[in-house]
Amino acid sequence: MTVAVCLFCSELRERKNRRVWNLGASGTREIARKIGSFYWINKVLDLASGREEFPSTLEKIGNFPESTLVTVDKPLLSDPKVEKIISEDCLFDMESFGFQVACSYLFPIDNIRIGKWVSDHLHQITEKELVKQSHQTYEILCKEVEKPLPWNISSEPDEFEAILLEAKEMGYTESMCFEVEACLRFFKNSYPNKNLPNLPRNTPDLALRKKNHKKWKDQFAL
Amino acid sequence: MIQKMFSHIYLEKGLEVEASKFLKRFPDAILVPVSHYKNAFNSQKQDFRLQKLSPKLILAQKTSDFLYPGSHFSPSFGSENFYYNTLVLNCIYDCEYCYLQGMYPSANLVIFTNLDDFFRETKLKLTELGSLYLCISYDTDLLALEGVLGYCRKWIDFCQKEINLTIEIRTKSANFSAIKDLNPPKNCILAWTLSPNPVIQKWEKKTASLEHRIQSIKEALDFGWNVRLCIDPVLRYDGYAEDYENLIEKIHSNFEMERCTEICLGSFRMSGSYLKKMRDLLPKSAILHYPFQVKSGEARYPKEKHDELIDILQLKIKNLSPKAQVFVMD
Repeated sequence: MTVAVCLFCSELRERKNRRVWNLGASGTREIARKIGSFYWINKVLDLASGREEFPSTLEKIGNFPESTLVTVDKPLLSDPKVEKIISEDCLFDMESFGFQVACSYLFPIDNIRIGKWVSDHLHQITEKELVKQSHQTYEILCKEVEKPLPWNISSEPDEFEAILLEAKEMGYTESMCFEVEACLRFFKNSYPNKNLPNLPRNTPDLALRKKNHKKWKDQFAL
Repeated sequence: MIQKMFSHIYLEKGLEVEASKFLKRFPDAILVPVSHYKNAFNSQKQDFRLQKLSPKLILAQKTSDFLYPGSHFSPSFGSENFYYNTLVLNCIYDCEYCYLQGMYPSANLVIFTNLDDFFRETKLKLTELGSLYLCISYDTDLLALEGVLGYCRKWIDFCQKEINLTIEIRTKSANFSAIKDLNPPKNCILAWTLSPNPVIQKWEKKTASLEHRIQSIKEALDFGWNVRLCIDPVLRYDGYAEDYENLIEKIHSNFEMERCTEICLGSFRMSGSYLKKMRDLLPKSAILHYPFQVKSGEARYPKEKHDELIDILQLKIKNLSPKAQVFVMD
């Protein structure tokens, strides 16, 4: 799953404001959950490790119910013991936990969603019924995935980059560079229409450079 | 579409009964089981700012650390045994300067439901130390949540019985009405944080307006409660001095400040590491990017700037209400 996510990412230019969903089939023991019904997943338990992941529930997408899901590493059909262990009313699949973990390294966490159709009741896969029932949901989801996110994660270029580079070239220490950046942000956020101030004139004398920097920094303190 | 606030309730095993109480208040909320609250709350890479758009509830049991020694960032008001507890982690309000953004990985609210364990541990500490000054609303705003939790009421009741315990309930709400039917105990202090309206509007999102807070304070004083005013943190920005002077005048025009147990003044201060994290979260915040002095891991205004703003406030209070007790946080 990690390899699949990485391959997918390598095709993408921009990830900050892109939805990344894993839609697929899942089994359940709960007969009341009809074949073809769709659920957004709000918790994924990895049965092998016992670890839990909680996919974001920030956004409401469509009017679908939610469910917890257990990721197993082999089909439950072939392992009645594992099936017995799990008494919860939940869905089962073999990929979601890996998907959630891998994506969380590459995408903002709130862009990641997992959605599952019920494909079987752990006894028999009823493919025809699944295809028929899930077709309509699939169409809705295809429209939703293309919609812009209701929030925007800024990806604007760093306007302070050039000044910070200049500071580094002038031999500013790391903490001095942090201070420069904070001062510039303070100035820009307080006076958005004014031009950014220049750094003090460079000097080879380290002590004088630090003194000039302090004087420069102090001018921002209201 | 962003989900409603508290659209989901994450709950640890065994808290189903507790959850049902919350479901009465939030009937559409979806329950999500969690084996330990930290699995959901401490999960890495959460976006605190985005979560503030739709915070969730996490119901949990606290199993240790029922009391913490008071931080030196907070005033003890001369009390020897200064402690605070965390009945709830996080706040329904959204103050731009709030340290919780730097302290917690999540904006979701953790509500500890085992109050009896907190009471038991507090009693033990009282037995050990003889007396206790306990702040119960530091990493949250309990009075703002009173309609949902009813915790203030329970703690007030508890401190009626424990005369050597003094509790402080700090708030930016105007929710005194939720507890006004109670008898005011001498050992309970309701502490209101007050800021000028321009600060509230710009940087204290979702909090009660100054007028509503003042109305609540007046009512509390009239009902005989101990009230502390906290003008803390005072922020520096263009025009701050006039705004804070107007604030003092506004308070004075509504009630006599000497009726309050004290007025606590403090300028913005914070752990340097929290500030760094918050600056990353809010790169467009002017108040967080002020060129603070960072010494020994603490970010503060330069001393002369701190002194200047405190002097302005002290002078104004002295002129209008010479007998008011003023306490200044260094």
